Amino acid sequence: MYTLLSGLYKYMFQKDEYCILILGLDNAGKTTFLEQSKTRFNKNYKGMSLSKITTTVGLNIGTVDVGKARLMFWDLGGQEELQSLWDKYYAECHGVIYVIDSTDEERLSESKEAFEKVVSSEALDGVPILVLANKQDVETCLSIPDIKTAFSDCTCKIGRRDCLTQACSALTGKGVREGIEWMVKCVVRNVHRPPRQRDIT
Amino acid sequence: MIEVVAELSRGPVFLAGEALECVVTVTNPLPPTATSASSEALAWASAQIHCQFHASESRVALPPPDSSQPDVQPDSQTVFLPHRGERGQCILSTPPKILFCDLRLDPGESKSYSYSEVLPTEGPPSFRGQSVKYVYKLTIGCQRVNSPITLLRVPLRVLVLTGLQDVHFPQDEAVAPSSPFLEEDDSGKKDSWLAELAGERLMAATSCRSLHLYNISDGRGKVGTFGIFKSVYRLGEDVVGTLNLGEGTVACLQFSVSLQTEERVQPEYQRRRGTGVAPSVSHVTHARHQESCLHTTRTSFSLPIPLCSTPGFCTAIVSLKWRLHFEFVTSREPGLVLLPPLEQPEPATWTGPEQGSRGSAFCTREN
Repeated sequence: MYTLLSGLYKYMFQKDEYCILILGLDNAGKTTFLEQSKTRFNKNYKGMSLSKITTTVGLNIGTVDVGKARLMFWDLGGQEELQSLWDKYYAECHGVIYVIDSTDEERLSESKEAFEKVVSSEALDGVPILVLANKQDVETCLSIPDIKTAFSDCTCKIGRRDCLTQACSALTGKGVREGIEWMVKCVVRNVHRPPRQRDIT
Repeated sequence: MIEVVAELSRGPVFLAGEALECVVTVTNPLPPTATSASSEALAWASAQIHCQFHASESRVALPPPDSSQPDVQPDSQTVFLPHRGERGQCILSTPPKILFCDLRLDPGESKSYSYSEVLPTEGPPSFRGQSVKYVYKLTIGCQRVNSPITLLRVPLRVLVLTGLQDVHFPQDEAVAPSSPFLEEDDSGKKDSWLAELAGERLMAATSCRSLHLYNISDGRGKVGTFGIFKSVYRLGEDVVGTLNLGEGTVACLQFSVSLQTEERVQPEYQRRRGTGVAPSVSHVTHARHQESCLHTTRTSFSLPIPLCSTPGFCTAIVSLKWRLHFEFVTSREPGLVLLPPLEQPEPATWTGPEQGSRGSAFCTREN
C-alpha cells in the first residue's frame, strides 16, 4: 500500500525533464542568459553579480522549473576551439537556444557560420531552436530585421522544426521569460523527443 | 587513464609583465602491446593563471558579502574554474586558453602543447603574510565528455617591480640586442627586453650609495652613530651598516639589530573589536645580528635579505615595508663599567631608519 501511494505521489508531482543547449559564440551572453533565467524562474535562487561572469570553458549547468516542465540548461563554451564539442550533446537535447551578440557586427558572419553548422546537424532534426538577439539594451545594437537578413541563408535548413527569433537582453532580463516560455511549449508538444526517462518507483 | 605533465621552461619565479611559458604533455601510459590497451579520449584542456587572495578574519574586515555575490557554481565540476575548492577569493585571472579539443591518444602515445601568457602587471606580488596571502597558480583543466573536470595546479611566484607598469614595448624596431653575438627571435625580444629593463632599473635604484648617519641617544646622552650607505636593496643582497660607539657619552654593553618586514592592514580594512583588538600591524624578522660591544669603538653588521622574501609593496588592503630594528643595552654608570652593575641594565629600544622611507623597497623613484 505504501508503495502504491508513494508511486501515485511521484506520478502526480513528477516534472518532465527537458535538456536545453545554450549555444553561440564566446561573449554572446550565454552564461549571463542562464544566470538571468535562474534568477527569474527560481524563487529562492540567489543570483550572482552578472559582472563577474567570465569566459566559459566546459559546461555550466542550470535547472529551471516552468509549470510542469523542468528545463535543464547546458551552457557550453563558445570559443571557436570548443565548438567542435557541441555536437556531442545534440543527441540528448530537447531544445537549442542560440545566442547572438547584437552589438558585434564584425562577428555576425562568424556567428551565422556556427549557427549554420548547428541547424545542419541531423542529430538536431525536429528540435526547436530559439534564436536570441542578445544585448538589445545597447543603443547601437542591430535590430531583429538586420539579424534575420544576415542569417537568411539558414532559413532553408531550419525545415519543419519550431524556430523563433526573439530580441532580448540577458543583462536586464528583457525577453528572457518570453523566450523560455516559448521553448517550454515547443519541447512539451514535440512527440519526437520525449522527456528524459524517469523511474517512477 | 591519461597522464598530464606540466613543465615550466625556466622555473616558477616570474616578474609581472613577463611571459610564462609552459609545455603540457598528455600521455596514454599503457604500452602499445598491453592486452587491455585502448585509445583514450579527452574533450578539451585549458590553462589559466589566477591570483587567489585570502585574508585572516581576525585581522582584516573585508567588505560585506552582499557586494561580492558568489561565483557562478563555485563548486561546479563541469565548468573550468581554476580557483575551485580554494579558500579566499580570486582577485585576478587571465583569460582561459584552449590547449586542445577532441584529443584521442592511442596506447603509448604522447602529445605536447605549449601555453604562453603574460603575467598581468596590475596585480600584487606573491605574498604569504600574517594578515593576507596572495597566491598565484597556473591551473590546467582537462575533461572527458560527461565527466568532471580534473585540475592540475602549478604554484608560481610573481615579483612586482614598481614603475614597470608604465613601460610599454617600443613599437619601432630600433631595439637592438645588448650583445652583438646574441640573436633573438621576435617572440623573445619583448621578454628579454623587459627583464633587461628591470635589471637596469634595479641596478640604478640599488647602486645609489651615499652615507647616511644617524645619532643614537638614550635619555642620558649619546650612545653612538649608525651609518648606512643605501636605503634601497635587492633580494639576496646584504644590508651593511656600521656603528661608531667610541665617541658616545653613554656606554653601550650590547646591541642587536634585526632586519624586519612590517605588514600593515590599511585603516579602512582593519578589524575592530570592543575588547581584544587584533593587531593590524605584524612584524617578521628575517635576519638578526647581536653583539657584545663593551669597549668597542667601531663595528659593523651584515644582514642578508632572503631570496624567498617579498619586496615592499602596497595594495588597497595591505602594505609591506622593510626596516631595521635596533635594541641597545646601555650602562647607567659610565665610570664603573668594569664592575657588574648594581641595577639591571636598562634596555633602550629605538627604531632605526625604515627601509625605503621614500617609498617601498626596490622602488625606482629617484633620490
